[in-house]
Amino acid sequence: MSGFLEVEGASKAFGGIHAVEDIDFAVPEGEICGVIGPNGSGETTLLGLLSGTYRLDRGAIHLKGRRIDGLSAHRTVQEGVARTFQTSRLLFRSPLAANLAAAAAARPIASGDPATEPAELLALVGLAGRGGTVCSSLSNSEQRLAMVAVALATRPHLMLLDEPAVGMSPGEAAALAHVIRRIRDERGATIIIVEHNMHFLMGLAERIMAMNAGRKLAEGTPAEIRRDPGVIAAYLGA
Amino acid sequence: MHERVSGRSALDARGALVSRLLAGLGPARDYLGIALLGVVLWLLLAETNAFYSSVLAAILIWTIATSGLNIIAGLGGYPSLVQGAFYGIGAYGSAIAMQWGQPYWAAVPEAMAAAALLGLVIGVVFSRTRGQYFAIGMLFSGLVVALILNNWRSLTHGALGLTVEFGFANIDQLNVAIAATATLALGFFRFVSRSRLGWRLLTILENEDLAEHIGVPTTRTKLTGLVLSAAIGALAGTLIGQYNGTISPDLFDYFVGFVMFVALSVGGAGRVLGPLLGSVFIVGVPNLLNLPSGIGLLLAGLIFVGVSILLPGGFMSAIDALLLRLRPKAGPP
Amino acid sequence: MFAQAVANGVVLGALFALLGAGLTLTYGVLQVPNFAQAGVITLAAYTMLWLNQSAGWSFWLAVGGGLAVGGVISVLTARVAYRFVRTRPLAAPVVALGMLLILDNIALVLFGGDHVSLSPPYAGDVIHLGPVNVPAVGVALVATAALALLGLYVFLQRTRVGRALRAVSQNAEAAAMLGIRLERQYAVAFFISGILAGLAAFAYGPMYAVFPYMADAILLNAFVVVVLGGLGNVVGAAVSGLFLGLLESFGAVYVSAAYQTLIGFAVLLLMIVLRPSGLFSSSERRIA
Repeated sequence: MSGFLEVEGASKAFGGIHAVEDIDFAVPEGEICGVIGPNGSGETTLLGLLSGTYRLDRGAIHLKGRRIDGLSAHRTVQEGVARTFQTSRLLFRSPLAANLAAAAAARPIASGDPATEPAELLALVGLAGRGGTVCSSLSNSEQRLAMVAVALATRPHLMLLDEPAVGMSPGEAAALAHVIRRIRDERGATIIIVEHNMHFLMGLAERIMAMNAGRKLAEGTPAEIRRDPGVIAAYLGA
Repeated sequence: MHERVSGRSALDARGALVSRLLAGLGPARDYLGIALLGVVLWLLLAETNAFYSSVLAAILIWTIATSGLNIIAGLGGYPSLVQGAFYGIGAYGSAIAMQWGQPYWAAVPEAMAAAALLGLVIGVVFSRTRGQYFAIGMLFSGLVVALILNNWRSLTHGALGLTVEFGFANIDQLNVAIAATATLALGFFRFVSRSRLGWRLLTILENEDLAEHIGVPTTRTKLTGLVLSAAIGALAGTLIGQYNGTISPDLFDYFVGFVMFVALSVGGAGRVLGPLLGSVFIVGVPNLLNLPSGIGLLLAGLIFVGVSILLPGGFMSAIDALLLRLRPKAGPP
Repeated sequence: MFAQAVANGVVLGALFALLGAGLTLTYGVLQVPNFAQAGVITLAAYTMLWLNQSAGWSFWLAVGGGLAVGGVISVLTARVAYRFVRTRPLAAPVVALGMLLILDNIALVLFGGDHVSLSPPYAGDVIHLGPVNVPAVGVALVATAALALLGLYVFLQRTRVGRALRAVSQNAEAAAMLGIRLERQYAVAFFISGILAGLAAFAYGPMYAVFPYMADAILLNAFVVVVLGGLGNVVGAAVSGLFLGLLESFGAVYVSAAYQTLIGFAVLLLMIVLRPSGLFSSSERRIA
């Protein structure tokens, strides 16, 4: 166990559906970790559990030694966890800079916190100069980048990205991968990415956890996961 | 996937408030303007003849109540239909407190506290509900409050109503109080709308699901908004009791809450002057035309549906559009 | 005493079942709390009265006329008001309430505010079943509700239109992709809801007198029935209606008659806390 993010026995059911079942995994600080699985394997639910969107039925989640399961979403943000979403969630009628300002106000600024000037954040994600644009006017890819910037504005220690590359061209996805690496390198954030775009993830993640039907299937480097017979069966069989 | 900005959207005016946070309009100027307005209103109240003065008094008292409503409904976007219940509690609470020997200046905060407490209870009880069911829950809460108070004859005399002890030295003092309170209510709303509570409510209005994830404590914020709305609604209620001298249970009827919401929507929800404009229209016009209550309510319903369809931002948005046309060189805020 | 409470409960429950079924039907397709249904009841009742007493139609013909009017008005409210609610679901209760006020006050303006009496031919009769006395109008109410709900059930399960309605209720997008015309299904749902409201008027009017705000008090109970049965679940609503009717009847006898509505409210609160998806469905349609 690494001590940064530790998930033990996490389980969550919706009605009769066991979305997440008995997941154990740990992420060391500063790692870029990927989560994959066939559709409906529970990855988004897992992110939701980490971000406080959902409550665990069983198990525990510790971040830097502090227990964060059971906290509401806004409290989890206070603990330094931020997330993006599968479908764009922004204050669409407001300009991007206002979104960033709102997110930056989420936590009191501590000394040593990285800067969250809108201009810096926008430059980091590749949306420099777009602060004045109303979010509904942004393109799909720009909105996904905007969500990353908004999440970053809360000065997180842990970022959870839910299918960030969806709808992006290969060029845009490559630029996003570069942004994510920069966020980890320059901001010191640990990053967990749920993705179905294998090409995007395999070149970016240092470690990958594969899920199937709510359970952990395998864990390892991208190369190991690619060769894992269980993973191959789950994907080809789906 | 994402919503489109529509010129007709009611939320445009309010969404623009968030970005106006950054631009800033010089707060002192706004408060001065409101104070000036207050003086004008008081002069009208004190100097015009009895009939017009009484209509204006009713308008101003409604302005107070709807200004309170403006916090949870205008900023937060939650169509609270229970404001009528808080209004009634203000009236009855202060009247009963005075019956028990409390001086007027104590009875008012006591009634406001009672309403605030009730607002808190209702909010907590229904805080688990989502979206429109929160609004429905508040509607039914208002219904139940009215039912209980109507049937609690020993306390409220039921349908017979109560006479209210006059707490002022004379009618002039009451007029000052009404005008001053209306001014304060508008000013308070202005203050809240630019405060942290205000922009948290606006964020909830724009996207509640996101708000929770950028650190906004949504439940706590909504509760605060509701409690403030309740207290201010009750404050208005204490004044109507004083002005009319008697109060009856139809202060509580669920459609009072609805018509207050209509007044807010017609005037411009989320805007400082919205409650005043709306009350002028909804309270002033029927009173001046002396319409029977059935027709008045029918009109309220029709106006509401009409405004929702044609002018979601209310009069204030129409004024905005007019001003924009008169000053074409002025860029967006 | 117990038996009488049961009998009263069954009558009340039949009314709730009738109202709840109509309300849940419209909930299923449009997610709108159709408060205006109370206004439809009022106008249907007045129409029956007017046709019977002023226009001289026979009682049963007048009832038929009232039913038709109920259906049409219900569809109109949907067409006029509710379509705007689809983009802003938070506004639904207020818009519904606005429609209710419009309908109620149209009744007030057209027919005046006096309490008048809708009198079917059997109005004064009382039926004795052992220790229990049930007014004939009560029996008529139960019979009407039973027949109507049975008919509704058959319609939903066996006819093509009915099945399309159920499809829309479960998943409007998927239904549209299957070629079902959503607008037409909304109209059907609201028309049926209006007919049910008309039946409620016919059954309820004789018992409680006809006046412009006659149906507003049962709004809360109808909504609670819908929540109990699960939003969109007609069978659930029917059973829940009966259950709530019995519950309130016993409450009225053993606790206090004035606070009947409180029982309904208390049930609502319990549901929110314990089981927001309703007693019968494990569906994802929850209010909390």
